[in-house]
Amino acid sequence: MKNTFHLTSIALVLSAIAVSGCAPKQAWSPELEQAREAYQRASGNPLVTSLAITELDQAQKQLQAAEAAADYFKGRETIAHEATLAQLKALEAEQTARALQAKQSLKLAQAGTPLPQALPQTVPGTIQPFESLQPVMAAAAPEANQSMQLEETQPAAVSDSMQFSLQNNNAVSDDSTTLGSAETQQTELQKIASQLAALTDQIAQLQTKQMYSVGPFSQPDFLQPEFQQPEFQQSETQSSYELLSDESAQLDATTQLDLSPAAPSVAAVVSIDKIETRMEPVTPEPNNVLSIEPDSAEPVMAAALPAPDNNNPYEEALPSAEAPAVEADSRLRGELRSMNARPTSRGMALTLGERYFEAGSARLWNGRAARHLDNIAAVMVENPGLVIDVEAHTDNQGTKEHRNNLTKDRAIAIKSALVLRGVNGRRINTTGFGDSAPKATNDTSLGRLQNRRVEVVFPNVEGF
Amino acid sequence: MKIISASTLKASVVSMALATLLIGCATPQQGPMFDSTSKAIRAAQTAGALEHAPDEYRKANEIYRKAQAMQQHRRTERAQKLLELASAQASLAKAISDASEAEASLGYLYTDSTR
Repeated sequence: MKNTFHLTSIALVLSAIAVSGCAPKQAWSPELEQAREAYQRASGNPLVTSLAITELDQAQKQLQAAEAAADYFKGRETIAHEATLAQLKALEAEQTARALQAKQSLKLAQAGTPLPQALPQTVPGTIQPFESLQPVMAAAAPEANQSMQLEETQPAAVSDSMQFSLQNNNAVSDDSTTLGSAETQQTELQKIASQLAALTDQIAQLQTKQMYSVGPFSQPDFLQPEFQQPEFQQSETQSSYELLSDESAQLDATTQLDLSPAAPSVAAVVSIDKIETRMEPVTPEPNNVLSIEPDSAEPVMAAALPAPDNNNPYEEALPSAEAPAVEADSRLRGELRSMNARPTSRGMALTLGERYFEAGSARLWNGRAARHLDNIAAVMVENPGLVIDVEAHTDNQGTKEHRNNLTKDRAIAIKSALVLRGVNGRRINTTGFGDSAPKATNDTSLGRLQNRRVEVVFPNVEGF
Repeated sequence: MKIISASTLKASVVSMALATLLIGCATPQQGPMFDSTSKAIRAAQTAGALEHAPDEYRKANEIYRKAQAMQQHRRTERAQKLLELASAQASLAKAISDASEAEASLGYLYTDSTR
């Protein structure tokens, strides 16, 4: 009898351990998945990150709240509510950017910038204002000019680096074939180049005066349609509204998150970066400090702790205090943005929420933080000129000494994790701010949650 | 000694019952959140949401009405959550409408310039 009791106890304990081991670390919610996707899509779109930064920031905060609700296993209703809000805000950010881009195009057009003779008909029913300026930019760029000349005989010779295909643009093809003599073409090109210069000036003025008071402008790639209609299907998107209104008359089974089918997709946009790049002579990337061997982009794993003599070839380029600003090309910015980094006045910055740490402790949750830290380490190894500032903050709970120690420890924990991933510790500055720099009010739980964070700033990466 | 007539007594009872009923059914006061959401919906409508984002606009209205119903049943917390959703839906509808309007204007301008 006694043996049976012991065996039963042991079996129960083992079962409990097995169940707890299999338990999810976060409550799963389809709305949260959709919110993440929506935010990822918005934050990965350079047009949104440059034009609708405020809306995107709100979406990020809302997504953090949803993640926190899931982390703490709040009710499904709460998680769905927060996630749906995050999703709506991300969609709003996309649409706001779309509106601002269209308004900017309108102002440019009203300012007298000559419009081309025909609107490219790439997508029926879609207004693509700046695609119509492609001939202007193409003509102003030497390599584009070459492409135009080669167009008739060698369509494939259009420069890959430009990704600038004119073969679908009938209007351009017609124009280029009717230009006639070389002299006429030269005159035309000079005229167009001057128009282009005026256009870039106007864009710069608009950026500073009207559109971008929040932050400087990060130019998107105008050659690729940045906006897609959100692909939320009615059947996929169940909202918290549904959950909230379960006790009354049924209105609709779902919240309509899909956009109006009649709404045109947003057109490609002008990119000053692209314009300027195209106006420069073509060089095969001679000084591209960011070009690396493909395998070096792999995250360095924890076991690969750098040797004391520092054999890592990338660490040889450790920047001095007066290191020149890293030439943060679009690829690097894209990588940082894919990690949800956002442009700030101090450079690109990404926020690690409290959920990456054990509550009230500097201990990192491996499963949650590892992916972010791997990505940060990979970017730093890939770009030896990069340095980062790790700044930890907390809310106003507890004693001041505890808050200061906690934030210092958390900053150091991030640094240690990055060092373990192969980054030279001298490239990482750590600061614990305690509660001296709150991001939100400490009067609400959501505000305190936002204040408990670690910010990783890339000060020599221009975010804009 | 004055005797209260049956009809007077009946009238008094009915009046008291009515008063009690009216007090009980009085609509709870709607907070500032209702005002701001209502403004957001009106702004969406002004921006042309009925034409450009009818689904989002309709959804915002429905959720708003649902929030009003919840408020009447004194379920304030649930009403607040619904109002948050309605406000977000209205903002989205407005953003879509703004974008569509701007693009349409650009389209007209382009058409005029190429005539």
